[in-house]
Amino acid sequence: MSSAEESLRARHILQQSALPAAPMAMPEQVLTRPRRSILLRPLFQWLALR
Amino acid sequence: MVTMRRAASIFFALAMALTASYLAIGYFNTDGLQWLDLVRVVLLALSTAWLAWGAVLALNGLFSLRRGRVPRMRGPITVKTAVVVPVYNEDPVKSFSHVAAMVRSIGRTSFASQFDFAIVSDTTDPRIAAKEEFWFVRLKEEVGHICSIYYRRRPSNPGKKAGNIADFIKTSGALYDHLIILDADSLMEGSTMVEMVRRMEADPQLGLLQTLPKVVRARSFFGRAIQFSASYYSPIYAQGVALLQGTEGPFWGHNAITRTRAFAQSCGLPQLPGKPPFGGHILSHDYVEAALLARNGWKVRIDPDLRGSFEEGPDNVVDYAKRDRRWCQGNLQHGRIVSAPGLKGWSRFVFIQGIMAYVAAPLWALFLAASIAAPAMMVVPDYFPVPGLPVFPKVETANALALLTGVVGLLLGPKLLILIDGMITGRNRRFGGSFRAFVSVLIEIVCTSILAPIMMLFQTRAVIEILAGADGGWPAANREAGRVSLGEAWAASWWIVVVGLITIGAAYRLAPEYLLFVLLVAGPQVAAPLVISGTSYVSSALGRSALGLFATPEEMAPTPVMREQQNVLARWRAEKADSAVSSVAEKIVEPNDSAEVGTSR
Repeated sequence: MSSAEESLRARHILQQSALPAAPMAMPEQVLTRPRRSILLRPLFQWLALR
Repeated sequence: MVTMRRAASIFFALAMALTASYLAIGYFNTDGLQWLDLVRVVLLALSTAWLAWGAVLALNGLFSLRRGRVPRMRGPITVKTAVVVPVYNEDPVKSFSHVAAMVRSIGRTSFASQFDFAIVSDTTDPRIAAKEEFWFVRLKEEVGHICSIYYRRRPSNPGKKAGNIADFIKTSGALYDHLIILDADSLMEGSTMVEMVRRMEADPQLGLLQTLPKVVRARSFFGRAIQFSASYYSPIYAQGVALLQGTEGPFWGHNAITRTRAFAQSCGLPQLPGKPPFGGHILSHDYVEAALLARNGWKVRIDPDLRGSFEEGPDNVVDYAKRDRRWCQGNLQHGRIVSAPGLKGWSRFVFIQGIMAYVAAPLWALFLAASIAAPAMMVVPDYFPVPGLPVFPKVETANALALLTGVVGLLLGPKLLILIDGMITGRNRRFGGSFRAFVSVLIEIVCTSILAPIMMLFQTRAVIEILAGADGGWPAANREAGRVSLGEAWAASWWIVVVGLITIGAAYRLAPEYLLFVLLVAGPQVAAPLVISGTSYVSSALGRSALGLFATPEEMAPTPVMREQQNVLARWRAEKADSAVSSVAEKIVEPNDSAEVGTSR
């Protein structure tokens, strides 16, 4: 078998070896807590409005 | 029962820390307590608690009642399992020889058709990628008739290894009930894989089952010391871990089986906000995945009795320190996750434990520095507080001795107890008999005592770098590096020599009475290049000598999958020497395709 034929055969094997398609969902997990609003935030917002 | 055991273990560690603090206060109080003495007491208490925690794991393992038979499914296996092998710029000849051996091993069971192998590559180097393709074809031709074997390469590698596994699940996960997750250097007997599936099938709530992989194929003095340590002590420590973790861990990232549905449902890892080292991809993903499985109600268990599970380790101190740097960054990053919502309390404790594994080094270093500086701040005692006869301060030598004995006891006690346990149970026979095991333990203790001050500085530097915001990246594992020349060792450790010399100089100047003790720590640091280079020498012959130094059961009698892998590797390496191999490998990669040679998409 020539080198070119060998390469072609190798590529064929590689294409035949692709991962089978059977998707499964993997939802992203929550690892960080939402930042708690600080007690003074309403005051700052009120001041910002003034 | 697990809660009681955990409470007792934590109580033991805290009690040891309090005792050490009490003894230290008594000793430091000889000349009156200074603020620096209080700092020393706090540092000592934290360090002792950590040492005691290590000891308590061994004690749990030693004094636990042997666990009864774990539930396992009998009869034919009907579920489908994928054996997933992530690779990343490793030598494909080597890693694919592992796959070939495992495929042959599973072929010797009656259930080969229920297992598929998937090599999932994150390789970024196009030349290595081309070689991967060549050797994959070779692998397929040789053992492709036994099992289905797949190969894909991601064009980019978001999420690193965790992202690689997640990509496999998102592409093909629905086909498989279970995934056996390996590393590029993992090796596992086919019968072990079958047994893992049986145990998973026996307990529908079991989300992940971790094996205790034995380190194999070490050649250097350093590598073989680690290999012996992992083979001789680790099963006892792992038994302790198993009892304390219960059904909430651990997962070490490889040589484990997971229920695909559980893993997919629980372990989609987000990127952490901010930049590395604390933001971005989660580096030590395994601990987080174990915590997330437990959070979703799945059991995560380690079965140390599962044999036939192997991995390789670094063969020299430099590679060990590089791996440690990556693990250190990953563990410190857990500081961002420890307060994640809904985690089990024990999972949070495991994160803190992981952080402490690296923070302990700078704590010891600070304690040493404070102890050298303390005499300089000493207040000259007043021998005549009242006129008349002098009052001499009470020297608490007994306290100092008790403290020293306690710390040394926590360090060496578990190892000596494991040796005695080996004599009583006959376990030492697997290590060439009690005399050989005794010699190996003794030399391992000496070796560890010399290496510990060097590793303390490597870890201290890693912690400082990470806290300063330096990202260590994701270097490929290098298991074949072997010998480190004196020049390379000097380049890696000259700064340790400098720190060691400064420490000796400071002790000579400020605390000459401690100089002998300081030399025990700083001496090996000054000799670091010699130690690093010297321990990287190949020393396999020592295992076969009359002393049987560091001989392990797997080294004396390799298992079938180990022998198979060695045969395949030797044969392939001989072929590799043929220049035709590389020319064909080059041709497989089509022009303009070097960046994306993946075959899956």
